[in-house]
Amino acid sequence: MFKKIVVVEKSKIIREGLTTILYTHEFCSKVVCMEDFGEWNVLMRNTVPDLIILGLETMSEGKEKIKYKYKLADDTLFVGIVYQYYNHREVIDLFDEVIFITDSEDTIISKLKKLSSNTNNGRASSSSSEKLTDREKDVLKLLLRGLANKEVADQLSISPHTVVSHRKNIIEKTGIKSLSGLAVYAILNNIADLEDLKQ
Amino acid sequence: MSELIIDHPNTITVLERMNIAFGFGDQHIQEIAERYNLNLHAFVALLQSFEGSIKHDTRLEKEAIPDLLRFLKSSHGHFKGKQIPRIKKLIVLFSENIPQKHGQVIISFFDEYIREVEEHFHYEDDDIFPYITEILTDPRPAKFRMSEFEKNHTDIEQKLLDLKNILIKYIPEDVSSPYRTKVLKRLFELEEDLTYHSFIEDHLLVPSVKKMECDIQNQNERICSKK
Repeated sequence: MFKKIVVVEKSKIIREGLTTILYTHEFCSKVVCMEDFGEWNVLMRNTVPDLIILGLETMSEGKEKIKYKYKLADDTLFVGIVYQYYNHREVIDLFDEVIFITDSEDTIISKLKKLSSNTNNGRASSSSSEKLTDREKDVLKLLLRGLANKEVADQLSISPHTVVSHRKNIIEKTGIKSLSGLAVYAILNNIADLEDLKQ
Repeated sequence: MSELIIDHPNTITVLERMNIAFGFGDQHIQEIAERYNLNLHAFVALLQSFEGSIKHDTRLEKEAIPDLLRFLKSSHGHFKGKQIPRIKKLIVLFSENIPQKHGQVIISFFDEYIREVEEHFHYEDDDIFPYITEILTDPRPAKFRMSEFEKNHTDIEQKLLDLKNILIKYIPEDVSSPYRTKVLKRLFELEEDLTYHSFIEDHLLVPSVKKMECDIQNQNERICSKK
C-alpha cells in the first residue's frame, strides 16, 4: 500500500471522488489534493509522495522534469486520469498506469493494488520502524569510514548492487539521508564509535 | 495590508526582512510600497509567495528584480546572524544534558550543516547576486549565468530533516532535556523559512532573471542584424 498519494486534477468532482475511493479502501494514510502543481509548494512542504495521480495535460512536462522540479524520489509512480476513450499508446505510456473515469471503483482499486504489489514489495517489507539488520550495520560501518560502494562490496564479498540496495534500506529505515547524519545515528545506537569514524 | 497579515501570518516575514515597521493603520499594500520605495510587483509577489497564492515560475519585469535581491540578501543575513546561531546555542545547551559522546557528535553535525549553509549563501551573495546586479545596470555580460545557477542550486534542507529525525527518534527517551522540544520547534521554523526562501529563488528570481537575459540577447541580436 502507499503512504502518501497526491491527486493533481483540475476537476473538483474527480478529485474528491478519487479521494473518497482511496480513503474508503484504506489505500493510504494520506491523500493530498490540488488543482495544479502551482499549489505544490504550499501543500506539500517537504513531504514526498510515493504515488501521484494526475490528468493528461498536467503530465505534459514529462515524468523526469516533474520529479526534478518537485524533488521526488526516483521510484515515484505516476497514474494518469483519462477522461474519455483514448488510444494513443505513446501518451498512455507516459504513465505507470492509467485509470479511466468510467472505471468502476473495483477496477480502480485493483489497478492500484496491482501497481503497489508490483513495485512496492521491497518498500512494504522494510517498514520504517524496523531495526537495521547485522548486514546493514556492517555496510553502514564501512560507508562511514569513507569507503565507496565498490570497496564495501569487496570487503564483504557481496555485489555492488547489493550494497546499493542495503544503502537504500538503511536510508528508508532510519529516515536519514546524509552520511554525516547516519554517522550520528550510528554513534547513538552503538553501531560505530567516534574512533571508527576518524580512521 | 493588515487584513492580509491577520489571514496569513507568514507574510510577517516579508515585512520583517524589508524593514517595514508596523503601525500602518489601514494602509493599502500599494501605499506601503510607495512609502518604502518598493517595486509594487516585487512586493506583491513576495507577499503572495508567503501567502501561498503565487504560481510556479512567475516572471517579473526587470524593475522588480532589485527588491527581490534585497529580500533574499536580508534573509541570508537573518539566517546567518540570528536564526542559526540561536539554534546552535540551544543545541549546545541540549548537548550538556546528554552523554558527552552523543552531545559532541550532534554539535559537530550541526557545525557541518552551518558550514554547508554558509557556503551556499556565499556562492549567492558573492557570485550570483552581483552578476544579476551587473546585468541590471550594464547588460553586456560575458556569459549568461542563470542556467548555471539553476543547476548548481543545492538543497540545504536535507541535513535539517536528518537532524529532526535524530532528535525525534534516536536520542533515547530517558534523556529528558527541556531543550529537545525547543531545538525541534526552532528547526521546524527554520525549515519552513528556508522552504519559502528557495521557492522565491527558484520560482521568482530565476525565471525573472532568465527572462531578462533573453530580452538582452534578443536586443543584441537585433542590433547586430541592423549593422
